[in-house]
Amino acid sequence: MFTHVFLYKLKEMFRMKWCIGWNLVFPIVLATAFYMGFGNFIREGEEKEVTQVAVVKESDTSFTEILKRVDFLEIKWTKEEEAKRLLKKGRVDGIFYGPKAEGDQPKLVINENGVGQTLLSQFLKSYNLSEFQVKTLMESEKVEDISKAISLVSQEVEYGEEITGFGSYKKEEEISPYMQYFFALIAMASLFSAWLSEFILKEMLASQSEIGKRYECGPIKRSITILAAILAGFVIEILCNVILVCYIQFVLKLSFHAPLFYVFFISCLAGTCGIAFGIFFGILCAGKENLMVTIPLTFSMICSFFSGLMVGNIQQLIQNKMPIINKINPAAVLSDGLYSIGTYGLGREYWVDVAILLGMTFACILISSIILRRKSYASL
Amino acid sequence: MPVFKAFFKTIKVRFLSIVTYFIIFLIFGSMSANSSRTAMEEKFQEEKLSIYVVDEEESPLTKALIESLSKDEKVDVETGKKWTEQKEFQKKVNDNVRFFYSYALILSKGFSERHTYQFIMEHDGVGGYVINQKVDAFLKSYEIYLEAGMEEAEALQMTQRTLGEIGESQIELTGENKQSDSRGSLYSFFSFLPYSLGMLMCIGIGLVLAELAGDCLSLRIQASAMSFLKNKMEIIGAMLVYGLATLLILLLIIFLQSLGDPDLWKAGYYILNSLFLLLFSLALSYFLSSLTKDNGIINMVSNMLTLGMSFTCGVFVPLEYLGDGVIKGAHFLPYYWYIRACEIVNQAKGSQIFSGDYLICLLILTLFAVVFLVAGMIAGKVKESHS
Amino acid sequence: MSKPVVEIKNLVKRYGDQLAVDHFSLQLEEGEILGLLGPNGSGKTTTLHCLLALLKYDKGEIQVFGKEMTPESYDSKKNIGVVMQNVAVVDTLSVYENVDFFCGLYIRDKETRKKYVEEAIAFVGLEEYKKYRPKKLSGGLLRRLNIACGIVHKPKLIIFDEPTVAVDPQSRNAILEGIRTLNQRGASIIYTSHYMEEVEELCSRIVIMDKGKNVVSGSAAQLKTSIRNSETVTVETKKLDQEILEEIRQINHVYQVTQSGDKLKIKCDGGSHNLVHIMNYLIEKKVDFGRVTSELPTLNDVFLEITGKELRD
Repeated sequence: MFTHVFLYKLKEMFRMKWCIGWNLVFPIVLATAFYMGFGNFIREGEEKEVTQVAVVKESDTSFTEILKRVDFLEIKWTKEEEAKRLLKKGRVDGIFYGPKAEGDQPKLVINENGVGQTLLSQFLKSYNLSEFQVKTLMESEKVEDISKAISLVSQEVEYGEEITGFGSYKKEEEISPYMQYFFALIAMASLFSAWLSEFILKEMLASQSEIGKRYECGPIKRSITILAAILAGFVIEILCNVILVCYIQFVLKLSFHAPLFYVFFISCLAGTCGIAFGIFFGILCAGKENLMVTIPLTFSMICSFFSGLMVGNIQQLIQNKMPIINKINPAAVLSDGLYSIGTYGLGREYWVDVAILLGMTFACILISSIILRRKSYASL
Repeated sequence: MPVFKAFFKTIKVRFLSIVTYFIIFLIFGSMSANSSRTAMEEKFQEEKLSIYVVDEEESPLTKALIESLSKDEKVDVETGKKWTEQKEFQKKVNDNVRFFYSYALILSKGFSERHTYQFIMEHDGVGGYVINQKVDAFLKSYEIYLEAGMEEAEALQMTQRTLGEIGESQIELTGENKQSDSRGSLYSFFSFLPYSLGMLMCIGIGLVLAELAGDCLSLRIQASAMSFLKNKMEIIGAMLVYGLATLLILLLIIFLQSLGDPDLWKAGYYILNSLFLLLFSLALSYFLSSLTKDNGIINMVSNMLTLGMSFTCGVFVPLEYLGDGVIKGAHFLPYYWYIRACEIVNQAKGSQIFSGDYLICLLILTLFAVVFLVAGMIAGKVKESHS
Repeated sequence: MSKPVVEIKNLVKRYGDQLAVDHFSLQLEEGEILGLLGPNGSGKTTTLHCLLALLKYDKGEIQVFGKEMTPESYDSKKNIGVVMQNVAVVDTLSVYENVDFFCGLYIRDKETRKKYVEEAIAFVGLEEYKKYRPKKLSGGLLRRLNIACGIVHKPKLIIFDEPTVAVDPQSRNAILEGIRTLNQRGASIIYTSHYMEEVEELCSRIVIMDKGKNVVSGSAAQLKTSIRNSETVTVETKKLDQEILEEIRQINHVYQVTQSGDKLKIKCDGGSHNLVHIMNYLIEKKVDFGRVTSELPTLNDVFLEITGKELRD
């Protein structure tokens, strides 16, 4: 009888347009919209951004020599007219006018304020600083040995060392921060399964529908029918999540930077967590039709928002200020799991997130079972 | 006016959902407005970067360096943590750089002796190079004065003086922007309007119209003494009242949040644009209610349409960041023309706003409204003939 | 003597302060069709829900097939079929799938189930609609599907809770005929309704309920003879003087005379040829009259006499 109920429930849910719509079509449409919106950012993020500058060289000076050795600027050596054209079209962030002779000040021309322009101005400042330092040294009474100091002025020294990895993390392999939106989307799709389990519950309980009365009049334990129906819900949700993940990975070609099995695993676990929450909501909102639509929707949207669905860095903001919120928000837990496995590889964070999702699922099911254990109703 | 009253009594049932969308508008609009820039394009101004400093040493040198950086950047300092020993801390710093900060500067123990530091730069963006330049300049300056025979404290003082007193570089700002970066809170709020207005119309009007068009209810109304025209007029009246009331509340939110915006004088143009957007949103909700009476499907399709358009037409992601193909496709979507009109208003100076381009955007929005209205009527007729 | 199929003793059920079922008792013998008649709100459905162990009750005993009925009485439940007042079918499954699904809750064996499903569909006359979904069926066909889902597993006890509500006369007749056939095949049936004609036609014994109480029970004939009224003569005539009405009242076996509009209602207790006596009087008094009808008492009369209210409110 368990199999009988399970198979029929599966058939029933596959035929429900709203079920497939909310759990599969809507997330895929949204993923496509995200891709169209953020695709550029993700693709551009694969290559390091470089500030471009046009250089109008009057003559060879120390400034132009230093420019030739700089690796964080992309330099276009060109004539003035061409440089102005490039600046107007936005192909370069600024124009350096090289000094006419040694001792002259180079000039920077920009169109607007921005980070690239700040970098160019800082470069110019650093160049001008050398001269100023020599002047200061000469004027200072406190200087004992000026020659060594002046020789240091002309040296190019880099004091910093970039951290490009630690533990199993490697910067060149890191996942784009814009993938956070897709993680939040998978989380939202998982939590939408709460509707599914609300529907299941409504159909199985005598207090909520006529079909529920038929079930409860039958010679089969309530727990078996509910469990079979929930399992069917799990299967649907798992299928939807797997399709969504595959769509993102293989159709949109956005890598999760992690073995797909672990991505599937935690996504499907989040889906079952959504189902568990739905059962819990179904019991809380018994009989109130409007709440049965509004509560799961509001819950999913709020949790998804706080996991980065609309503002990508909100989860990190919460992590800094009040990390406990991220641990009780199932969408944030999933999002964190996908992020950590994509960025740092399979590690403690991932398994902690898995454990939290399992815990939430178990807690919801346990509380729901205790409430549902009641044998008969006071009223129908 | 029984149908008019019934309309609003039915909408009351969706009160919680309606309030939710107002709250979403308030939160996201505010966040978008806070991150907008009103760039003073008359002179050059350095971009203020957010940097995260891990100071393991807490020595006079590290403090001086941090103080120097704090003059131009937004600096958050973490002390009492060891970078190398705590894996969780490493991940926290790395995550903060990925999502918040342009740069993380790690000043380990022994920094005062070695003068070397470690850093994490944001993956994309060049802000990290700016900070590297500044830190290297500071340290080089310090080393120069040490090499010149000064004591540490003196060398620090000289370094700070040198960096503070160095004159302005020759920088010229032409003011010919390739795009206007000046986007005040007014623009930000109005550009966020389509999603909220669209959803409020769909879940309010769309769902109510679907209910009123339900089999028994619509037949009961048709069989009543109320004329067809009166019935339709009451429904249209109710839609307009609800639409205008909703827009009014949204406008109130916008203006309360944007009182200090220098572009407030352009408000009239934004409001006119939003009225045309309202027309389209009403037509969209009518169209959806004609397609189906199923609340779940209306909810789902309206979410798909509004969110999809919001991501591809410049509502959530500015147009300049979208791909060329996406922008070409967006020309066929109404939200794109609304955003275009907002941009025209934002970029315009003086009385140039009421230009051909602006009016074309309004016209196209109207055309979209008419198309959806007609589509809705056709869909309704087809359904009627098949039922 | 075999035990009753259903035995309800002194059932009490309260919803807060409201007493829905008030020391109600009922027995259903094997092979019987028991009608449970009462106006809306009399407690019929509440009683059935308690019987099916769906509702908790405050006092009383309920036994089905000789055993106490509890939510865990799965052995008893295997032999109970329920046809709900509201249609309880799955919208996304076809007619065949619905019947098969609900049959599967009772019957494990696939072959047996298949046979039962075909028989149930044929029984309710839905062979042509096997692949149709419930949304495509008319109200009457939907009710038939509802019945099929409730009786597919060939239960020994079937409970029909107002199965003919909003059903066209043709479908109603088919349903009633079907119920008779089920009874002939050995099922004991409880049939609730507030349509007295159906109950009178179908049921071998009737229990009339009001305000949660068992007002009276017996066969239709027994109930009708138990009241004073044995015949009601209705005469179409203009308004008569009080004097004439009083004289009619004096005719033998006439115990009540009322006139409402142009209808004169004369109730008689016992006697024969009451109609003749009344007609003779009217002719003698030269009273102009139109149509004259004579009716035997209905269950509504029974209910009216006992409770003072109409059965149909």
